[in-house]
Amino acid sequence: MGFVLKRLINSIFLSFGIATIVFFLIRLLPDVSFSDIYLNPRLSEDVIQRIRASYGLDKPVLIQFLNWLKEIITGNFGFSFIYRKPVIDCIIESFAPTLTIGIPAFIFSFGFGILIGVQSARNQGKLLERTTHSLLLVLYSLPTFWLGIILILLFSYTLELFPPSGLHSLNFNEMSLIEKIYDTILHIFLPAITLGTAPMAAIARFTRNTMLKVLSQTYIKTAKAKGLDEKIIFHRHALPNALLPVVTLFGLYLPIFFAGSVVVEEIFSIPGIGKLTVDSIFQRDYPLIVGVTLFVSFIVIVGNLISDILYSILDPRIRLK
Amino acid sequence: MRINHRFPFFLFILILLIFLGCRKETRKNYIVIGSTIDIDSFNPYLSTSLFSQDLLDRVYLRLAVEQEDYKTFVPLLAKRWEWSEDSTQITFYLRNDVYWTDGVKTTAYDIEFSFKAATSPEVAWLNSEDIIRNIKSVKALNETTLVVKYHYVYPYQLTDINDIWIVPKHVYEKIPFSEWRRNGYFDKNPITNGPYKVARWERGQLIELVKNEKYFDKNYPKIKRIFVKIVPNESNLLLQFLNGEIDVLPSIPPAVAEKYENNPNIKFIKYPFLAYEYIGWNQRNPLFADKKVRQALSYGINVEYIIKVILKGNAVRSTSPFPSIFWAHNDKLKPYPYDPEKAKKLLTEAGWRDSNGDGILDKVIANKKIDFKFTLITNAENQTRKEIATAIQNDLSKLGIKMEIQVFEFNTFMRYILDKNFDAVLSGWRVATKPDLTIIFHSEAIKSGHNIVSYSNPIFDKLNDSAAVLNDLSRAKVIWDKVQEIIYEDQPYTFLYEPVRINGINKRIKSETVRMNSISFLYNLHEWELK
Repeated sequence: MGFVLKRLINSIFLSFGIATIVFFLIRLLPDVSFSDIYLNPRLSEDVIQRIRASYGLDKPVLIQFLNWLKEIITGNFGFSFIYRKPVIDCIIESFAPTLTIGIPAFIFSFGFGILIGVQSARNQGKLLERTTHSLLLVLYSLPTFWLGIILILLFSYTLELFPPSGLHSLNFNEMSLIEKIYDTILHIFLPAITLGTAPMAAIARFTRNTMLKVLSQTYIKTAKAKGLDEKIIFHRHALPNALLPVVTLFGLYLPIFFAGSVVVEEIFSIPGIGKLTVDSIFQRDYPLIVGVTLFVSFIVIVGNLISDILYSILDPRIRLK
Repeated sequence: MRINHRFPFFLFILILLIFLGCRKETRKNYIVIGSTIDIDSFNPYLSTSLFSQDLLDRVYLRLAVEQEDYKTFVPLLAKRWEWSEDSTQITFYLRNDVYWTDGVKTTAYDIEFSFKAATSPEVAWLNSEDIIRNIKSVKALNETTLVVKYHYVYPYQLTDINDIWIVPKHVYEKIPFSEWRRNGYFDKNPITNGPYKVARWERGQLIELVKNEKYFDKNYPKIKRIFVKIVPNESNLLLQFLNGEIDVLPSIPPAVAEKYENNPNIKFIKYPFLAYEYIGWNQRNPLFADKKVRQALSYGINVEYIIKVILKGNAVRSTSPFPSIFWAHNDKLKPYPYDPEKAKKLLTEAGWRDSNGDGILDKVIANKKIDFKFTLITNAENQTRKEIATAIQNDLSKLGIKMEIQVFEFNTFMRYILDKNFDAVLSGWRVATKPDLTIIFHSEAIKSGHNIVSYSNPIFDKLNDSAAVLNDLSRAKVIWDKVQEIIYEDQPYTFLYEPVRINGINKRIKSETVRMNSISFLYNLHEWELK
């Protein structure tokens, strides 16, 4: 427990470090915050300064940073210029859609990835396995934006099976609960597949490789020599050992699913963390940029922590220190 | 590979989904408008994009409706209006039967308040400049009488007062002006008075407008429910339009429109847009300080090719800062023809020749030999501009001019332009419906304004100033013609083309009921009808 706590505290400081760097880096870009007022040619410098001052942007960057630090300690993440509400609210509101896509994608990629990987290892060298292996490489290398559009073209445009964008239908509010759930599932399908395909392929290939490595170990040979049933060898001796490194991927892949994918969210019009990040950067919404960075880096760090914890639980030889 | 025993289960789920998914929606009694961007806010003073304005105009009423000739106005919130003897004052008599969606009556006091908001430096409304300069006061005498006083007499007195968004005083005054930009209050429950009211706004997803039951004209709107679906990805948006999920798609690229011209379910509505695309030559840069050079560049760019090949003919050649459909446009000006020989000759006259045989023109300026090399900047979001930039690069290389292209994200691009930190810029202006070139070409606008190319010509300044305030439009036209001749001669910009806007509608909508124009693509949305 002590270890986890230590790591968590560490991770908070690390997130802050990252946010601090971003805080200063973003100010190296041309300042276009409140671009609309800059477009007003006769607006006096005085008024622009007053508006900037109301957001504390008139002060030197260092002072702004100290103010930000002070606010953060009291739990205030600042106020978004473009959404005109607290940064924390923006992040919470955007996190829900990201999760809605992320969780199914997570289940899909690990479920299918492990399944295909294990089956591939078992059938190594057969024609079907070799084909699958190459196919996975193709899936892994497909650009997400291309895959997304192709899926829409196929499943929404041609076959009209799944809705092409958004998280629910236009008449969502008039639906019964069952219909609502069903409607949401339909909407989640394509973006979740798009988001999960590349990781799924990577996980499948990874699982296959670790599985093969384990199957060539001497203790498996020993088991075979003992005359143990193939199934028992496979399921009881090989599988748990082979899945060990796969489980560590859980943590590493966490950010892919839960930190918001810019591309998938753009294609399928999902107002998630990815879209929030892009909008905040394009409009130089400084408090939001820093807030989102803080959030995303925290997810990455927590993901790593989960990896480590899972590893120690599954492999008694490794103890957290 | 052995088929897994769970496989039939997955197959079953998939088939189930497919069957359920096949239920097609029954006949829709609403329409869906597609957009790549969301609106900024339902507070019209904070909402600056063109799309926001088009949409907000459907939920907020103005005093009058500007007509497609950009000169006349038809009564709306104002039943009628009277001019004072000396024309420095207009008295508006308002309708007595207009209510905000919360039941409070829309009165002259709302307009008086709106004027304060429009001119408040704290609100910093984008269009406040003209209002502040021209309108002296707006005063409500009683609930239905409004008096507007002007500093002087000029032709666009109605245009200016009609530009003011009328917002509900009893709601908006709860938040002080200085807090407007920091407050999400206005977006929570928008109180409006137009034919439509806001039923739902899911940021970045959709907007739902429904018929406003309190609207004074009970015959409208004809279509009672409108959805705006926000899909940032253009390919996805187009597929949904072709599929019938989206009924109205604004701003379709010419190449796409050409491809689907024969689709039986959709109709394209094309109309000239009050806008033009240009290349601005930064005259602070010694390369472009000489008028002869700028003329040469205009002769050296094959605009006809750009229109024919890149825009598929969906554009009109531009010759002046007033588009050809606008009354102030000088019809006598003919576009600079593509004439590379003449361009070369002009460049030679201006002292540019290839003295070292490296294929690039050079000239000694301030005791230093410089090559004719520069960078053209444009914004990344606009695919057409990027293609045009490449065509121009090709044309100029034939003259011995080396042009680099640099593409920026829109906001950064604007920053570079406004800071005048560029050599040449490929961009466009949308033209206001009242002629005034002060902001873009007046020498005063170099310091504070949009004279981004730092063009300066005292004769132009004088003529422009006199024409802008002339109340007799036919006399003003004579001066505007002269002003355009000066611009034509000086070529501070190379005027490229006036775009033709292409919007698509599904044929479910009766196209004869649809009017789209440069003022708004949803100009008469409340009159649209379904088949």
